[in-house]
Amino acid sequence: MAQPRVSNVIQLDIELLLTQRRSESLWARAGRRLRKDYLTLLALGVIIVLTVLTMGASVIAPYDPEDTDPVNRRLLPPGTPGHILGTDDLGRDYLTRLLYGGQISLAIGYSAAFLTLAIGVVTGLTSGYYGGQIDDIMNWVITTLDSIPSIYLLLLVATLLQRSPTSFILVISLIGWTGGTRLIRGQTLQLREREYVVCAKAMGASPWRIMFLHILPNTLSFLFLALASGIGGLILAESTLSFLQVGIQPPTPTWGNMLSNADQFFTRGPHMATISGLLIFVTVLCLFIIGDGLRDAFDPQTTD
Amino acid sequence: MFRYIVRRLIQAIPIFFGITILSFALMSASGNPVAALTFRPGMTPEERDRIAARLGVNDPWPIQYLRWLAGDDWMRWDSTGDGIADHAILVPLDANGDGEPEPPGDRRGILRGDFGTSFTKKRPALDILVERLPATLELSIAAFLLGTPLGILIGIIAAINHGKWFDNVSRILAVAFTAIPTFWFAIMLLLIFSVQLRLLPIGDRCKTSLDDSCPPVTERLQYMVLPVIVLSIGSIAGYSRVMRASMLDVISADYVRTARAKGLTRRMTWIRHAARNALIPIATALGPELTFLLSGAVVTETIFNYPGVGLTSFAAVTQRDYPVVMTVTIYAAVATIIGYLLSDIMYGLIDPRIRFD
Repeated sequence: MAQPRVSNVIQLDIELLLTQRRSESLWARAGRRLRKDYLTLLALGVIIVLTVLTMGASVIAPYDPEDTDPVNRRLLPPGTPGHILGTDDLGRDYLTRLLYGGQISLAIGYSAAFLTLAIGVVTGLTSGYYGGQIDDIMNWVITTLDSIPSIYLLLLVATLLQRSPTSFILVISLIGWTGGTRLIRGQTLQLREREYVVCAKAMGASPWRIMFLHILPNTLSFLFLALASGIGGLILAESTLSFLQVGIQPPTPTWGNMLSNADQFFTRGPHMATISGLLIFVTVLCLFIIGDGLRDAFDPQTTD
Repeated sequence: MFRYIVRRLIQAIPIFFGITILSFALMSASGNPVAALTFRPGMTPEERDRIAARLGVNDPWPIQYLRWLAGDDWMRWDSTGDGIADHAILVPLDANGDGEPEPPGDRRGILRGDFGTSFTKKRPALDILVERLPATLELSIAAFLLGTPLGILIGIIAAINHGKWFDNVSRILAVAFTAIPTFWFAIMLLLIFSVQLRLLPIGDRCKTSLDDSCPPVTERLQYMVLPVIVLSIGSIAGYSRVMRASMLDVISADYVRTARAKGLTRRMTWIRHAARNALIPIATALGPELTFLLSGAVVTETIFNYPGVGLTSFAAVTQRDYPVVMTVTIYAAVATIIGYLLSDIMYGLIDPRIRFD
């Protein structure tokens, strides 16, 4: 078989270069893809609005979340003058509590998700990259933690600690990091055999440099997915525990603990059983949609 | 195959010990159990010390762990039959230094099924678990029997109607039901079906009776409807997604095209050739499913006041009844390990391409 002449090959390359558009960075391409993904944009919009509203609770909220209405110390239905969404059984303004509750629920979700992902990235990268005994030990730890259904672990740990939001974030992060580790470890195992990593190694790059500058950026699409669905999952976990009254304790409101006594007010105040649950549902749903959308947008493998 | 199962069982041993160490560490972190055991006014500090010495709460923690795991009837025992301990290993014969040996150990450890005595109910913790197990099993089995076939069926129909309305609706619902908080979904069902429409009971396992017993399942199905729906909705969503993806993978495979080319009807190819092979990934989902049913039951049973293991463990956690909490945790962990093992074995049995040697 005749080898193609060198000059032909070069010419082909030049033609390719001329016909191709200017190469696009990962972020630029992701941005372009996202602009066409209306569902993800909508979900992103909902999350941004909810975040801004809840984080600005102290400015927006008409009342103090723990103050009861001095005149009506009882449950008022939505639409009552002065209380758009009514009050709860102690006469506290429901809208105010929703905003403050969302602040805590979202803050816990965001910070715990970042913390779990940080632990997951470090442990996943090291155990995937080095392999061997480090990986064996890490596997043992992960399998052990994953073998205890997380609700039991959470219940156990929740009883040990003070129920402040900070300690709560630490607890759910220390329990929930294994998913991130599994994900990053799996990716690292694949990527470390790739030519560009072998090449970097041959050029004398330090393991730290290879792990964080060469391997980590290639897992970006998975990181976004893990982050968004992690926030969603952690909001679900927090609301479940707070609902069961082993999470954040009243009078501090969260979307979860606002539902704790809802079943006692089914007939008198159905708004107490519906609104905050609906907000959790919408928030988590949007986060899952965003996760999927970002993964698709940042996936370097797919082509348009 | 046999060798594979044995190997997997051996691999499960370090995990089991990991679980016991973790549980024990958490239990120890919760503080001294003597305070809970000696909650009796008028008890002198000397008496309390004696109980502490007998329980060994001041021993180094590896000894305490070993006592919890394997018991202490072999640590300090009585060989002469006079009721006074005369031999001891690992622990001193006279722990509190009052010149008299402590009584012989009487605990057998969790490895021999002694999970201690419930603080609140003053009965063996294991008995409490065993007593509550049937209620949980009846819910889990019902949820499993409803959720798995339904999820698989929806997945198959969605894949066959790829891109049509059924596919789109089922995909949207699958994401929605993954995002819905279980407890809120349960509350909404109660609000609609029990409070507004008054169709179903608001909770419990059956009508309250004096002797706390329940009639056979067939006479109290209405009590099971809502809990089973709540428990199975997650697996329906999960299975339908897995099955749809797997079915779409298989439908474009060569052997399915061959089957069509041989002249088999569409229906025949989908059921006989595609669906059967598409079922393989479902086998791997069965292990996590078991975990899910066990842990999902805590929330569901608590909301519906259904007296199973989940409700018991939740009550034990709020009352800080650690022997019961530990029993349930270890039971759930062992069930999870077995679940994963079963799903690996099933994976091998269903898929002939997998070899274990």
